[in-house]
Amino acid sequence: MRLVRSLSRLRAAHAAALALAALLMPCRPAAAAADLLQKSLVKIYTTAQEQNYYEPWRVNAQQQWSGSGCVIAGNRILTNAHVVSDAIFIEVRKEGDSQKYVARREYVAHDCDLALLKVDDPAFFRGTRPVTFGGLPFKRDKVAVYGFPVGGDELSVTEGVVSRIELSVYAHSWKELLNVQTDAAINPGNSGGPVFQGDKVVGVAFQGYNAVVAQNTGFFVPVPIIRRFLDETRKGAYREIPGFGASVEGLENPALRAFYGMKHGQSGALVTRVSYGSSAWGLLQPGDVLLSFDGFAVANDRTIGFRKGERIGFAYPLGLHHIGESIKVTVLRKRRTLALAMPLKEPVTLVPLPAHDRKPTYFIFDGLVFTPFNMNYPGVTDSTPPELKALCFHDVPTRERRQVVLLNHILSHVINKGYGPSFNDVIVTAVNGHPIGDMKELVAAFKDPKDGRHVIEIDKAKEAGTRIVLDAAQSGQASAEILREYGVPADRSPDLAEAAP
Amino acid sequence: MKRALATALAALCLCAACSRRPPEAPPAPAPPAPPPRAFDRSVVKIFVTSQNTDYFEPWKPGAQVQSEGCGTIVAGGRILTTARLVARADYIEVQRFEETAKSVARVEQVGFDTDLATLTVDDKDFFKGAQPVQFGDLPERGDKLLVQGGDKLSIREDTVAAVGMVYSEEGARELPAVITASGADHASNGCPVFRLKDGKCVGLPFDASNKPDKTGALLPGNVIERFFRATQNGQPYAGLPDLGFYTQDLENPALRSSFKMPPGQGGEIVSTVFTQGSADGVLQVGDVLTSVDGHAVDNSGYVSLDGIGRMPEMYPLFFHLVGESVDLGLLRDGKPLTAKMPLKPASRLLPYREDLRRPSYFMAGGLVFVPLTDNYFSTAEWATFKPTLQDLYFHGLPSPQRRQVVIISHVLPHMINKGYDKVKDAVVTAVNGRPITQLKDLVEAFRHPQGAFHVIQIDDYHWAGSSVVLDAGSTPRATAEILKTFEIPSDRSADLD
Repeated sequence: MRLVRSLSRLRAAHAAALALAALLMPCRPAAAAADLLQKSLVKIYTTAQEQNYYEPWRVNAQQQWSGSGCVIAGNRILTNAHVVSDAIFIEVRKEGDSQKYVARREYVAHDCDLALLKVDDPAFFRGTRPVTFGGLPFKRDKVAVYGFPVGGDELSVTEGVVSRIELSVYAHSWKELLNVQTDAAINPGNSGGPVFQGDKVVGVAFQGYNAVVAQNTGFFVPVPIIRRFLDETRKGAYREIPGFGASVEGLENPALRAFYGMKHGQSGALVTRVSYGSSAWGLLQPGDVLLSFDGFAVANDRTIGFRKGERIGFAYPLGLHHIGESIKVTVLRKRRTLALAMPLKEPVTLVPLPAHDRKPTYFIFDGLVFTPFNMNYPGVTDSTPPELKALCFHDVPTRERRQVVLLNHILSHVINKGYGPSFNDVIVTAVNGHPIGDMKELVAAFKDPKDGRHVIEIDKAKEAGTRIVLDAAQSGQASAEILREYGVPADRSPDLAEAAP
Repeated sequence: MKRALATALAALCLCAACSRRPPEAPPAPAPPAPPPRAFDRSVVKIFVTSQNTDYFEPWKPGAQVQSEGCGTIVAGGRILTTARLVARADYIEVQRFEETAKSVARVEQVGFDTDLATLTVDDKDFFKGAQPVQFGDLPERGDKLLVQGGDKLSIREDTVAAVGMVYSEEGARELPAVITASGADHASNGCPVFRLKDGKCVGLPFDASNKPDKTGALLPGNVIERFFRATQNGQPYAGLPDLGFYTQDLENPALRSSFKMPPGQGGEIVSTVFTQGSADGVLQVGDVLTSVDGHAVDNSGYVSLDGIGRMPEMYPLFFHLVGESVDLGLLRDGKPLTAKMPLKPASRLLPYREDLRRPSYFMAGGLVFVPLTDNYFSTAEWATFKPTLQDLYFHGLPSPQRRQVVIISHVLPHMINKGYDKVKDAVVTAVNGRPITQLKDLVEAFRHPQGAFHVIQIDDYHWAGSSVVLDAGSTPRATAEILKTFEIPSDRSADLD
């Protein structure tokens, strides 16, 4: 799935392709009813610099792109997080206006891909009409997508119906949340633009499939997710959608249900693992059968009843709750039903999902660049070594291992001579005899050399005995030289600063 | 459609071959021909009808394939060719160079690791006038070569560019190689390469992946002679020996001092010893390997060999047989010692690629269990395999707990396995509380249900989950029904009976 934002480098190619199609298209008069709605429409121009996760002290080359947005009550602009992610400079232009105004980010919620912008010049909001929100539409309801996609500079309106409503992946955050699919055309540049049902906004257009994969499949962030976001912003700081933290599998097979002690007619889903530090940690256990979640009965296929005649993934209610709230969960444990109150915490994953607007964590020791493995890591793609990719999907945090610490690469220097590129992207298991479960433990372990040496144990392709040994007496000087020669401003990211040696 | 065509063509070809065989018609007087060159009398054409193996549905006979290649007449009335060409053959015919008659041949020995095979021909007249090839020593850079190949056994010249080691696609490992200046169009078709100056065979081309672009790779004559030694007197080929350990370079001064390396001493750290491999019980993790077979190992893991040059430390092994021993020089805790290491065949979690006619499988309640092998990865696009499986492919090592990886490759749908449709390529860890270290364990474990259930634990959390449970009482009947519905002859491969 790709994000729909109009990267400037894509624009020329699209213009050429569309020029041909335009010849075949009959002209149609603009619908008069749309005029009022247009008064909320904003085109957003972003200049951004994304972080470089391979050399985490650097930022990547500047990029420019454009997206869409709409004015909401309180003189704010609602758009997608990915339209203004890692932005350095943002300008906005009202539909029908020629002037661009400078805008600032007020709240950015990367998990649900929403953001609020402020414009300091009050003149900007003159003549605008804040949108009002509707509800969650039904399948086959007619919707219209407003925005500024590729193909031109002026407002574009496309229409279609709601095709599907379910939990699916938000490409910006890789989180699974309530998502509405439409067959209205949603193209690069539509991102952040409002989706209207009649004169009410029912969503924010944000992603679509590449045409090679599927046609007429655009997606918008629906109102329940938008409302939760706006509720959070009223508290003065955005806090993420809470996480559950238990792996749950379906119990569709009758023998499987009987084996786990379920009575005839009883339904539920099996808890198989619980992530350390998550909402479920300390409450649920592997082998529990999840019978109900936030008051909804969980079916054997891991769904709950939604609206009349509709079902949805059981995790749906999480997207409506706030961290700190508590939800009711009932489980079957050893054939007894337990009702539990689960306080909701931040989501935890062993390998962090893609992060934005955040300085990457790193630590450099004698030229060895250590980072926590994360999904921003250069190309968690087809070329990522399978042992790392497996961690992303298959493993959960445990008490002993909360992060996977990688030796990312080595800045060559005489002190690390002989440890070449074969040590790129290898997992660090222990330093100076201390097991390494996160970056803080790594930094601390380097304060404790053994017999004048630092010994870094590596899980390199399961070769358990592989290690790096460094001369502790030369470490300080070498580290300083390496930082100077490679132009690295600091030996660690600011978040590790309190652990100074 | 493709398969149907292939079968139709195969049938046609076979008929043509039968009718073309000229019986006792008196031979027409041959026109005077120029005296054939040495290799004309030692090269034969090979016509093969073989059957592919279906590693996904192992009970199915695979599609029939017709292929052609060449072979070389070697001493003892045998023909040397490649394993790839003949290993899966149902029917083989051979034809002498510039002859019209074809004779039936049979596979005698197969070595998948070096992609070599020998054929025998019952018709002893076949070899009349033949000249067995002689294998030369390792050629030198710049030596001119004669390469035969293609449909008409066309001949072209080539030059030796280097001697080294490259990755063999067929053998799925690094092999000694003679690198030639131009690439072979028909690598692995068994056509021999001769050295121009003495007419001796210096190797067989093979499919290699990590060689320089547009170059070719030959399996050198000395590795071929090793294959003959390994199979002499008809003993079955036991494969290449394996060192059975991994090493790490010892270049860094701090690393060297931590391993008490004297100045000037070369060597490599033993970082991993494979369970049941050659080094198991001989070497320890943390030993420093200083010599292999009398050749000093340097800090990057290379040995210097007379007339060959600098080669990876495992190179001397390619001239030894399984059962022989090599001498290893070691430093253990800084003290020198020598060890005799008896050589064993490769110990791998995923067996090397071997084209088996009837791969192993076991089916119960519609769950298809197979061992994870190199071959299994040929059943689909690489990118479609889960990273956990890809990881096993690259890094899986056998341990006392796990000698094979057993997976549920897929599920044949039936009422009994309702809800398990997502189970695909899932690694099986235990069945009915018994750990599964190889396919055989599974058959035994299914004899001991856990109460009323068969409980199959899988390590597939992100995808299908962690457990598959079947009603033990109805499993035999369901299995029988599934065999019938899906037209499967047996619930297990013959090796599990």
